[in-house]
Amino acid sequence: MTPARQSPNHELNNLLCKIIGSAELALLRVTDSEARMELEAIIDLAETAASVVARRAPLSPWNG
Amino acid sequence: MKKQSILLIDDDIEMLRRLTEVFLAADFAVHAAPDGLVGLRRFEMSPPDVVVTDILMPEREGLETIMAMKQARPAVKIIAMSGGGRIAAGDFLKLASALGADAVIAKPFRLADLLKLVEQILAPEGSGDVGRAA
Repeated sequence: MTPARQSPNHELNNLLCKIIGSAELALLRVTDSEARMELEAIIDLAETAASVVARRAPLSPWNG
Repeated sequence: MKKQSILLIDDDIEMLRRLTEVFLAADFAVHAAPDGLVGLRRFEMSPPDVVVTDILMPEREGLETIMAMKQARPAVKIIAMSGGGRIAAGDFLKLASALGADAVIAKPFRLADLLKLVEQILAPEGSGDVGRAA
């Protein structure tokens, strides 16, 4: 299998996407309000991290 | 009522699992593929209503996959996932058009936003605003 050519930005964005997705899927199952707040905080933090990634190393979305 | 079907293509198996889980929870008939080559085979065997594909993948890249699918079935709706970072709102249409996709969503995104985008893109013409950004 040919390895995909991922830049560091892609790797970070993929990881952040999985963190956000995991927290969202957990939110579908968790009913405890404190746990839900923690999960929402994780999503917010991951989105903040994504903004930092974009600001530090802006990359054109045109290359995938 | 027949379930709407979705083909998910991503070489990142963990991501594919999350995508599969959210669309199963939303009552879609889900087909998943770990690369564009397998995705294209599944597309030919069982044409879905909508395809969500990563752009950068091994074996057969997302762009080739999108082109082949659009050539085979021009009416199929395709959403491309871009890993290149957040995109300015005005660039979505331009990027989608350049990729041959109907819409683009930039990683990292919320699964809820992707689900909303898929539902918008599958909505009958005139039944709502089809967002292209996320």
